[in-house]
Order: sequence, then structure tokens, then C-alpha cells
Amino acid sequence: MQNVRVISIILVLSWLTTACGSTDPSPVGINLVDLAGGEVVEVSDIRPVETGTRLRELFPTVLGEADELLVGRMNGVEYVSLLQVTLTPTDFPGGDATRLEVDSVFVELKLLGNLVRGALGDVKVSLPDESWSESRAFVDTSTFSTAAFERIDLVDAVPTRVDSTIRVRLPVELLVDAIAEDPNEAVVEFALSGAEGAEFLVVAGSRDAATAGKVPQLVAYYADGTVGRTGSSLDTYFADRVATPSSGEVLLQTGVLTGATMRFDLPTIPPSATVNLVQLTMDYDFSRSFLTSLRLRIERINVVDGDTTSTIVSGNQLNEQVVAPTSSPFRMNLDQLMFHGWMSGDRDNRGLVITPVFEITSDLRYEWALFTNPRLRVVYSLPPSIGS
Amino acid sequence: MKRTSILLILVATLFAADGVQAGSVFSFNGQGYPLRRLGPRASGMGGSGRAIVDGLGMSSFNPALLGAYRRPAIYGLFSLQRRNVEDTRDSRAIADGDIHGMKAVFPFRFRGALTVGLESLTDVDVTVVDTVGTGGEQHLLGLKGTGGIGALVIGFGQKVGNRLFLGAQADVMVVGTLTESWSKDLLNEAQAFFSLDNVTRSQEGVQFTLGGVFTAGNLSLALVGRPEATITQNVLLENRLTSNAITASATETKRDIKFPATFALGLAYARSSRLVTAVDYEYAAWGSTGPGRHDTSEIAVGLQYQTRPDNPRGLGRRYDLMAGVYRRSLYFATTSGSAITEVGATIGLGVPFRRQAGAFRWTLEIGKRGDLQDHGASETFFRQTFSVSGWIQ
Repeated sequence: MQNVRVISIILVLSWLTTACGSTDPSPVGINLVDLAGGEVVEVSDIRPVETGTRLRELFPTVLGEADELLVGRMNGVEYVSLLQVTLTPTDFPGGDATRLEVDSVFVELKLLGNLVRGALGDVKVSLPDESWSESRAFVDTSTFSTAAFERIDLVDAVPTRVDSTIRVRLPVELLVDAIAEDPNEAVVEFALSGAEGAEFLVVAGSRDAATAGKVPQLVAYYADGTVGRTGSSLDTYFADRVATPSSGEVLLQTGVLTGATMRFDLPTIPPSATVNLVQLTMDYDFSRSFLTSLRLRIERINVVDGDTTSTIVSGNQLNEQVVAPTSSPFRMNLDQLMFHGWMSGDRDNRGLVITPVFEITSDLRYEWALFTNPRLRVVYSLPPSIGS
Repeated sequence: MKRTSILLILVATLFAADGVQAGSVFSFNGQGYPLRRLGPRASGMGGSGRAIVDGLGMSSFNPALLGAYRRPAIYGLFSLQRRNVEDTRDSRAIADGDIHGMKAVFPFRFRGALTVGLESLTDVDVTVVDTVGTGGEQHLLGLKGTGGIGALVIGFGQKVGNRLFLGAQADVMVVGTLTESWSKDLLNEAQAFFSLDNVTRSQEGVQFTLGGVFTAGNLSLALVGRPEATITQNVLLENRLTSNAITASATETKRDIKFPATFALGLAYARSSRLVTAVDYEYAAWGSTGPGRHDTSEIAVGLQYQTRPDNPRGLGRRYDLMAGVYRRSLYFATTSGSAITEVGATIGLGVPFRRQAGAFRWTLEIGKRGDLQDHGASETFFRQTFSVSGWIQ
């Protein structure tokens, strides 16, 4: 029994003296280790060997209930606003249209949020050559291609801007003919868009504008010095793709759903290496963008037997991310797994496609971001050495 | 009742140090920190005892000792260690512990004995955290190395005539893995994917040991040789992608590693049956096994004194008191080029069980490894070894 006591005392003392301490990382550095953990390599400023624009499809997005009207032409897309103004006798000074001689006619657009992109250029005034309504889709919904909407070009007008009001002179005949057709319910219809060669965008209030005083108005000046103002009775807008973006430009756009393709000449890595970071940097052209935020989907391009498809590589949230560029340059991280496949030779590098995800929201509208000068920064780590 | 109590205490001790291993800050180097493979008594005698042929030596350093066994025996050895690691920036105390070996000896009628057991040959137990690189490449490098090379030990010893003992032993290295886990986390990037690479090394091969002891009166002389052995190491490299079955880029390669040729001498003198002294020397040609490595040498001196059953303190039983010192160098490649040395002193106590059923031995060892200036780190250690050896009735 005495032996047990002695041994017990020894063991308890052992516990107290030896088992104290920790198994936390020891303070020593890597110099004590004769194996290398593998180098971390940063490769900056990888330029694309190919960039392109991919028009996916058009969406019949904006119906007549939107707060806004877009007028302009930017990045190869013509933004066309359709307006209809119905004038009744109360809209005419004196109440009788037949006794008035129209001197000049203008339409006044009230800017929303002071939104003008680019230098305000000529506005094309055209005459709708077919019937339309606020619920019309200007896209063939079966093919997601542009549905032709016939217009007769009337004139390219030079708009003027005073504070938040854009004024565009309209042909007098628009109102004269409407009065002649029905003086008690004269209907004036016209379309406004950016003239060819212009590169601007105006965002104005529609007849549904929530902000007071932002409704478009037809302003008629008569020979007797009187003036009549009438708000639009119908209005809507649509976008018509008329040209592709310039080479080297990355246009990401909803509505006229436009994505961008890129392919980079990447360094090769061993299959067991790990790609830690892929950062895409682009210069953001604020003056040619119209954007609150975009949800972007990034997919790998696959070419199999001549068929080109694209797939999401993994569930990484970087493959579908919301971007809201506010400054330039703009940086976004990409899924390292996609690049690991290319850099390790596991996959053919056919490039990637970035496509905006169009979201049906209550404040639906076209949005786009224009970037230039894309370049990549990749950080990868080599596997540890197995030698020694 | 008494044995049950001892067993329970031992088990509790094992659990107290669960999940940790007895290692060295220098262990993540080559094949790991080479263990001395000492039996219970040699642990207390500073690692000496290659020439003590009394049928009690359980160490694997000389298979000729088996020729002295008359009764079947088993033993298990567990050690607890507290070490204070110091480098140029910081110091920290680390506690660890491990079972280092279990063996059984089966003597034959013709004065020979066979041993079978499992033993750790090397140990790896190191965790390193360091900031590496600059700019976009700057990352926190983490390393956790665990495991060790183990062996299935099969040995045979035979007494030849009245003065000569001969033995042979095979260390079949088919157990134990060396595992490295490397992590790299970029420090200057918020959304970076961190690297986690796992390297698992398993071994296949055998190394033989030949030994002999010649006795002349109270003096005995041991000679032990171990030819160089080439071991096949299978290296499996996986990263986060392969571990999560995202890609199939795990790589598996085979390579050869070498265990050095070793030569050892031992001398023992028994002044009486109660007092034994021993001195041992070992040289290992580690320098030929890898670039930058150093040949190693070890010298150990120890003694064992047995108290009388009727000792003045009236404890009523014979106890073994052991003491020893040793100095050895380690093979690791160092940036300074100088070999790491380890010095230690031991004391031990053996408490026999009743009816000659075996013994419990406790050893305390205090020592130091490395030099802060030459090797970037040093550690002092305080190790206790507990063993139970018993005769199979």
C-alpha cells in the first residue's frame, strides 16, 4: 500500500510539473525548417489577348409605368422615348384651337436627379409610324431580338438646357396637323432619341414620375402671344441596339443585355498549386455609364465540338456578385477555381464571359457600366517541396 | 488492488496528455527528430547500457541483450515533456507526451530470445507561424508537422558459450506517417482563398542491426553495427481542392530516403550485483543521407544502484536508483552549418512489483538542445518517462 502511495505522489507531481504549458504554435520561424512551404507568386498586369462583346438578348423590360424616360444614344444603343400628348379645348388659350395660329412647339423634359451623361447632343425627333401603347414590348419575346418599330425621322433638333429642364423644338406641323384632325381632342405623338453621332443620355421624368413637376410637357406658342402647356398623356421608352461597342470596351448592360468576353494569357502552374487571388481591374468610364448597381454572373466559356457554351464553375459567390462602381479604377475578384483549371492545364482556356443578371424589380430600368483597359492580377502559391 | 491502482493512475496520466507528442522544435527536419529507443532502465542511466547483459535490458540499441533473457517479458514506455522554446523574438512553454514503444520478449529453451514490438524511430511535432514575403505576396505561413516514423521491431538474441551474446534485429518501417500541413493566408487581400497543402509521408523498408556483447568477469564489452538502409518513402501531396474533391490534382510520388550506417560501443562494469556502471558511444553517418546533414555522435555514462531489501529506511523492498548524463549531436542541416547538440542528465527510480512480477520505473531528464545564436532557437526540456515492465508468468 505504501508503494502505491509513493507512485501516486510521483505521478501527481509529474502532472503538475510536466503537463503545464500549451500546444499553441511555437514562436519559432520558418528558418528552423529545412523544407520549403512553397513560394507565393504574384503576377500583375496580365492583359487580355481577346476581348469581345456578347449581346445575349433583349428584354421587354420597361413598360409605361416607369418613373423615367431615357433619351439619347450611348455605347451603340439608341434610347427612344415615345410621347403622346392629348390636347382638349381647355389646353388651348381661349378654349378654341381653330382660332389659334401655332407659332412654335417645344417639349420640355424635366431631368431626374440631374442625370445627364456625356455632352448633350442633337435630339432626333421622329414620328411613330405604327400604333403603340405603354404596355407594348419593343422586343420580340420569342427570340429576344429587337422588334422593328417603324418611325419616320422628322428633324435633328438642338436641345437647350436650363437648370433641370431640357427643351427640344418640335416641328410645328405636329400640332397643326393634330388640331386639324380633331380640334377637340388633338393628339400629338412623337419620339425623341439621340441623333446619329451623338453620345449622351438624358434621364427625365415620365408622366408617372413620383416627383412633382417632372412630367414632360408640350409647350405651344401661338401667334397672339399666348402659351399653352400640356403634360403627356402616354409615354414610355425603349432601347434599340444600333452598333457594337468599340474594341477594347467592356460594356455590361441590362435590358439590352450585353456581356463581355475576355481571355487572358495566363501563367502555368503545377496542378497541385493553389490560386489564391484573381483580381480583375478595369477603368470605369463614369461619363458613359448609367448605373446604380449590376448583378454580374461570371462564367467559363466552353467550346465542345464547335459548340460554345458557358457554365458557372462553382458555387463561389464571386461567380455572381453585385458591383456598384463609384470610382476608377474598379476592382473585382474572380473565382480562383476557374483560373486554377486554366493555369494548371486541366481546362482549355477559352476565356470567360461576364453577363449582367437582369432582375425584375419595382424600379426596373436599363442600366449599364462601361469599362476599359481590363487587366488581371493573380496570386498563386506553389505546393510545398517534398524533398530533403 | 495495488496493480489496479497503478494501472488506473497510468491511464489517467495518459489521458492528461492526450493528443500531444513528445517532440523537439528541431524535429521538422529530414526524417524527424531521431529517438534514442531506450528501455526503462537505459532511460534512467542517461542512455547507456549496451553492454549490460542481465536479462533486463529492453532497449533496442543492442539486440544481443536478448540473449540474456530467461523469462518472457513485456514493457510499455510513456514520456511527458515540458519544453521551453526560445527564439530570437519570443519564448514559450510547450507540453507534450507520447507512447514511444511497446515490446515483448520471448526466450527459448536454448538460451535465445525473440522480441517483437512497435517503436517510434523518429518524431515530428512542430508548429510554425511566420510572416513571409512582401506586398501582394505577403502571407502568414503556417506549418504543423506531426507524426513520426515507426517500426515493427523483430529481434533475436542468443547466448553463445559462456561469455558471448549475439543478436540481430530488423526494424521494419511500415508504420507511422510524417504529416505536414502548410497554410498560406495572404495578409493584404480581403477575399483571398487561403492555401492548405497537406503532405503525408509513409515509409516502406527495413534496417538491420547486429550486436554482440562479450563478458569477462565483471566487465562486458558491446559492439553494435547498423548498415545504412534505403527506405522507400511514399509522398502524397494534396491541397484544398483535392481534399474537398474539387479537383483530382493530388500527386503521389515515391522517393528514397536513407537511414545512416551506425556504429556503437558499450562498456559496462558490475562492481557487485547492486552497482552497475556503463559508458556508451555511438557514431552515425547521417552526413551521407542528405545534403547539409551532419554525422552524429553520442556519448552516455550511467549507473544503477540497487538498495538492499533491508535498507535503513525500512521500505522493505529493493529499489533501483539510476543516474546518467549524455551528450549527443543531431543530424539536422542548419543555416549556420554547425550541428545541433543535445545534452542531458537523468535520474531514475525503479519500483519492483511483488513476487518479482516486474517493475515500474520513473525517470526524470533535464536537458538542452540547440543554441540560440547558431541555430536561431534553443530549447530546454524537462522530460519524465514512465514505464511498466513485467514478467509474463
